[in-house]
Amino acid sequence: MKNRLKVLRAERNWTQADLADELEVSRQTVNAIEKGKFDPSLPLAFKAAKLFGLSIEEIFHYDAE
Amino acid sequence: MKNTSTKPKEKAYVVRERKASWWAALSGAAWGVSMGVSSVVLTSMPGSKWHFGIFLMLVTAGIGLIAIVAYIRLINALDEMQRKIWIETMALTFGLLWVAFGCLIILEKAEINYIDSVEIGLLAMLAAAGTVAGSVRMFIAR
Repeated sequence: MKNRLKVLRAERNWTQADLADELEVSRQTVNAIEKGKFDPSLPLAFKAAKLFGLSIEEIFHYDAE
Repeated sequence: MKNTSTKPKEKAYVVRERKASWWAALSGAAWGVSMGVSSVVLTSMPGSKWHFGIFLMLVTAGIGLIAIVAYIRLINALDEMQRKIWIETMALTFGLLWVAFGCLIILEKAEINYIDSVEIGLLAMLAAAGTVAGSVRMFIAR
């Protein structure tokens, strides 16, 4: 699954630690999600979408490969 | 978003995770120490060991139960990716333990080796190695 978390975070000048604090996860989890190494759960995806004021589909894209 | 105070206040979930980690590490270590001490004491103790043996068994089992609860709390305190790493670690640890135990049973049936305190100690060390491997993975993920 691909996502725009890194871009959205950069637009707001947030560090990974800032985003991790807002999502109440560790910084390494944010890093793993941004790199596509870990797919977030639905509640965490909703939390990110609410934080950025976007829908889940605008942040996360399903990638069959 | 950013904390402007000179001393940033830690978030509740970070404190909870750290506290759970310490409890898990300390209770696990306490169980290991209690097992070692109990084993040495009972081995070197002269005369009847019945009452003291039962007492030490209850003490080590109690500490072991505390350690189990501490590890369950640790898993609940972790975020979802950390939890995934720990569940994989537990699977690896228990898998290794079962395979090693199976090997020991085969060796015993073949009368090559007999399961005694040394082999049990090696199994405990194997479990500890699995836990350390998980901790290293968590550290690398940082």
